[in-house]
Amino acid sequence: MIQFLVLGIAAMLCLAGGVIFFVVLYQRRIIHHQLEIKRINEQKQQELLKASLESEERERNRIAAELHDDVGATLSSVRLYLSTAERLPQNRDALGHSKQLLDESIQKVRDISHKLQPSTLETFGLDIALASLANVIDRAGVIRMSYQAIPPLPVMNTVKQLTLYRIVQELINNIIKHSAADYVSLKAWGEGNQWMLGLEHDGTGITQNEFLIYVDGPGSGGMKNIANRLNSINGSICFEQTSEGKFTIFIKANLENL
Amino acid sequence: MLLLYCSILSPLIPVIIGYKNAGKLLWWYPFLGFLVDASVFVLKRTVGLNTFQLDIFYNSFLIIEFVLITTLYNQVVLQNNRWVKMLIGATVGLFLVYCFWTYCAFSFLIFSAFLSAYLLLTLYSFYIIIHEQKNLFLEKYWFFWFNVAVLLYASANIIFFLFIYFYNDVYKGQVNYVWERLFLASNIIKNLLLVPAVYLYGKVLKNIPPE
Repeated sequence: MIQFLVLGIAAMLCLAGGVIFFVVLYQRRIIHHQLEIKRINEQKQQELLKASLESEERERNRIAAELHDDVGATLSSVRLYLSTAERLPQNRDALGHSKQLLDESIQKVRDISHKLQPSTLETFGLDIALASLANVIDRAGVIRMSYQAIPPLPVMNTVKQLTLYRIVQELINNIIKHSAADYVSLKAWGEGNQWMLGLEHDGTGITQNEFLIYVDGPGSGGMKNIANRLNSINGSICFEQTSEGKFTIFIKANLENL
Repeated sequence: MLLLYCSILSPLIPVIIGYKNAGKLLWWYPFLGFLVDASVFVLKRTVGLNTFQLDIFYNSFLIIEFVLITTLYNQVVLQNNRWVKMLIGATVGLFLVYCFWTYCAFSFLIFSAFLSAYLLLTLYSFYIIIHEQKNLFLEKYWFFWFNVAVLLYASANIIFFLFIYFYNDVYKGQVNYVWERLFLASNIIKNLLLVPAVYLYGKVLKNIPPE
């Protein structure tokens, strides 16, 4: 009888152990399933982000091409006709003024087209494109801008170069719009396998904490754009204030795994 | 004897390790278990206890254990149901009537009935744990460890106590032999499993899967 008792107790314990084992195993499966879902979601988000950025670039290319080919060409034709009409002495003053305005418009169209799709980037690389951008902004007269590259600069693929270019463009636009700065300087240098960019201005800037609040909070599409572009190239950004009261922005782009 | 000493002292482990939760409901369970076992052991060897006095100790712990365990289950899986509270109260009332009627005789049948209630509660709790998925990481969830402790304790002893109730007079010597090994061992295992339960009691878990 005692043997049956012992057998009965053993069976109960085995059943209990089986229940516990089943629960633990089932829970591990749930965790594995959740991790898989999380991985797929992150992958999907990355793909959506990439598609969104590609779509944005295609649209910019299209607008830049239309501005340059259509509007720019038309304005140049108008200039040609005005040059012909200027040969008559009675038209000289009015036409001279019109030509001047037209020259300004043609230059502005070229600048807009260049900002939308920097042709120098594909042909000459990021270094020259940034120098050209600084030149355009400085020439516009709203803010003084300088650019300095410290060679050697690491080699980078076109996609990454374009992404960094867009980030710098967005940051400069924000500085012009919001900081009331008189001067901004841009520096580029390489550290091992990393591209480093440093922006410094004498206006009112933001700190790293404020940047993170903008990125996580509602609105602030520009900041979110910067953060998304950085994520797509495995980069990082740091907003700081120097002891002299100037604001600096450091961008780091890791060239591995791309 | 070694097993007896270990069984008496084993509740101290969750009591000491879970000292941050001292005074909370779950902490009282091992604490009272130690108090009763130690008191019985000391009093038996010093002043000597008769059957009636022993039964008072065991019945007191039996009903307190029942109230503690069912209250914990009511809080976690039964959403503090007032009908369950009334049922617990009614059971305590009936038990007191029984004690009064039988001069507090210890009943293995009543203990087995309580153990079967614990078994049902543990199985239902595991179902709720799997179904609701409120806590992804079971090893960090105090209630999982508490449930395992009660399930193993109840499943190890329910048949044994029923056997004692029906066959104790016939197999007294062998019953004592099994008692000294099974019940004491299951008590030790239960208290060891209560260590993570008491330690983790009250901690809020973040259900973020690991990277």
